[in-house]
Amino acid sequence: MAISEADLLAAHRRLERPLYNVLYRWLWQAHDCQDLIQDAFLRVWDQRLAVDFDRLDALLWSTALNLAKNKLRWRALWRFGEVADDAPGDARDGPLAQAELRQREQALRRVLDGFDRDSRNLVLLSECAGLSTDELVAVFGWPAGTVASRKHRALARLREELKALGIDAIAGATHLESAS
Amino acid sequence: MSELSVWLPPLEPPPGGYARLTQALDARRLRSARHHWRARLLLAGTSVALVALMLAPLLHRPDPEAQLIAASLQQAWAQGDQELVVKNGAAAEVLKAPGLRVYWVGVTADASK
Repeated sequence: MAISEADLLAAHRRLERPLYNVLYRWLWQAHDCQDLIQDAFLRVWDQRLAVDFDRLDALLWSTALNLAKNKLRWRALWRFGEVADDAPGDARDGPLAQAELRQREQALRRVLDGFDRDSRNLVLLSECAGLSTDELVAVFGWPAGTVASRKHRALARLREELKALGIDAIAGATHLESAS
Repeated sequence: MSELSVWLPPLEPPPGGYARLTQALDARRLRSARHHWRARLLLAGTSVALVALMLAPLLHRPDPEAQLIAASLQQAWAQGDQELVVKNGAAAEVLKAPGLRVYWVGVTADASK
């Protein structure tokens, strides 16, 4: 039991990028995502004595997802404080690439907004963070069969709805004219 | 990594996250050390106060000189409006008025002084 500072920092190196990719698809603001990741790590650090190293990643994921949920609730309550979404990606990619990425993110957002929270998390954790079924089981605490079937259903729905927008996300071919 | 990542390349988090976390952990460590010191000081102070409180009745013994003076004064008071006689002590009249006498009283080795 108990984790060291080195464990936590190693987890940060390992998880910052996948966490950011998932949280961004909830919050759509880079700064908020960064704050939230920091907050999640500090919260886990505060209860380090009770944290099992084997459960560290799962705990960080569930903490971050809960914080994102709270953040969205807060935003819903205080709508006047809402700020515009950040542009994803690197400005060095050029305006065209950025515009294309933005369009794709908007299409994904449109589809994900129709998902329930668990399905959305399943899609994001498996597709944007690359979590395996075992890792998803650790995060959600569901049986492996439940995770597999729910993930399958959620991904099928995602594919279908992206296709309806003219996007074949599996093959990587995009027809964003119809999505925009 | 996934089906979606081909269509939607992974995003890079803004730089500085790791440094920010290490700074926050350092700040927490400092705050925690300060808090521990404060707690230890508080504990030590409370312990000393408790011990003093428990020992107070044992430490508090009536001063024998004060007892002598008190006895002499009581005696003088009982004798009424007469000359004050103080044994094992000295008394100097400070103020005399009808119904009121004020003495300075002290204990000396020689009662005649």
